[in-house]
Amino acid sequence: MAASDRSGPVADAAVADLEAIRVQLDREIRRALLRLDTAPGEDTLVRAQGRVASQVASQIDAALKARGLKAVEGVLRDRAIESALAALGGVDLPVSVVTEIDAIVKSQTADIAAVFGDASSTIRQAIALGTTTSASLSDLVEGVAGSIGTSVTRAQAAVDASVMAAGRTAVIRAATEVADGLVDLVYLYSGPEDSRNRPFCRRHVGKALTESGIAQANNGQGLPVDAFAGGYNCRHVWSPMTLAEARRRGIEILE
Amino acid sequence: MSIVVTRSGDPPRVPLERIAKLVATLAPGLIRERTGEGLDVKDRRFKPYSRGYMLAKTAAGRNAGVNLTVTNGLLGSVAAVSVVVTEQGFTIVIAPGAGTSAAVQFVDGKAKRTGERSPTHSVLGAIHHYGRGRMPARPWLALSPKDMESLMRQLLDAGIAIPLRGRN
Repeated sequence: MAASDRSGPVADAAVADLEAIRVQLDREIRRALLRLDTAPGEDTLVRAQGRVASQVASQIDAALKARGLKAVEGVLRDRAIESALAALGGVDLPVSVVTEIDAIVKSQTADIAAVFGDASSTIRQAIALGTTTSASLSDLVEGVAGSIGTSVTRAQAAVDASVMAAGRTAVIRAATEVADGLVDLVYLYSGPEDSRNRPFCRRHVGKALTESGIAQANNGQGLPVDAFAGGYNCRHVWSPMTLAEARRRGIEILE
Repeated sequence: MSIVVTRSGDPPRVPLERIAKLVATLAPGLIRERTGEGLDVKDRRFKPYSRGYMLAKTAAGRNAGVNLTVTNGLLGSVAAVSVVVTEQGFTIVIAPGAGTSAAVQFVDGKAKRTGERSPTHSVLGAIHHYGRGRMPARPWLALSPKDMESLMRQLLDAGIAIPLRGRN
């Protein structure tokens, strides 16, 4: 096993990546919106431009898919892999972990597609409204920039969730591998115990689960418990511990 | 902090690399749990939070304990960031990650995201550990004597008896 410093910025790098995507999208969409202004300097949207408005909206939709969704997908996978590497001290990732991370990325990509889909329809509505009322182009541009910003913030939440999920998955798989045939492990459901906890987290925090206990647990959100714990953006993590130590400490074990 | 093992005598029954991986698997959770319970690296209670912070934190529905936790980003990021195994032994470095969490502010009885990101978890961890300004030091990033006992017991559960040394 070699030394490694590959644990470097994970979420930070993702934030920088997403900001770059936001800037590029913003620039491209502003350029598209300018097509609506056929009377430069007047700052009014030209009405009766249904066809142009529709083209502009389609152009923005395409940009959101190509520059937004695809780019965020790439960030998501790269950072999830980095997170798993960081959780394992930079050792090589088992193929099984990479496969599971791909599944996490796939599930999160669907969420991100919905986020950009929402942005696209919001922008389409804003353009339709702008071209049928006396709204100014600068107001429209401002509103659209706000929609893009919101989408990227929501995409960031998906990236954060994926990074956490990949880390949890890597911890469990690596622990299982190292303990195999050597010692029985359980996984302590570790993290805050407060009124913000979801019912699932309230029931599990401070308790230990066996691997089969984790596989059987249901967080009620349709998300795998090993990767997402109590659900999307859950604050809890798995802390491996020997079964014997959990028993010595009087920790309740859910099998 | 790091955990150092220097081999002496006969080769261990279990390969050193596997022992190192097992230690790297078990140790971060010990630091997380003890810190979450409000105990420092000497197994003593952390210095209390300021009254204002405590009131704001509890008003926002968060745990009243001094556990260095709001989002759990800091403690959740603690991991073995480096594992080096040689013929003579191994060294494992355990530290918070270099990522960040969404920054949170307690306002009107709610924990609200500010839209900013926190300092990196490694920086945040150092601020808690050493203190800054009026914020007292709350040393947390090391294996306490009880953590070390637990780690040795867990290695014994795996049939491994090996001397470990913790270094801050």
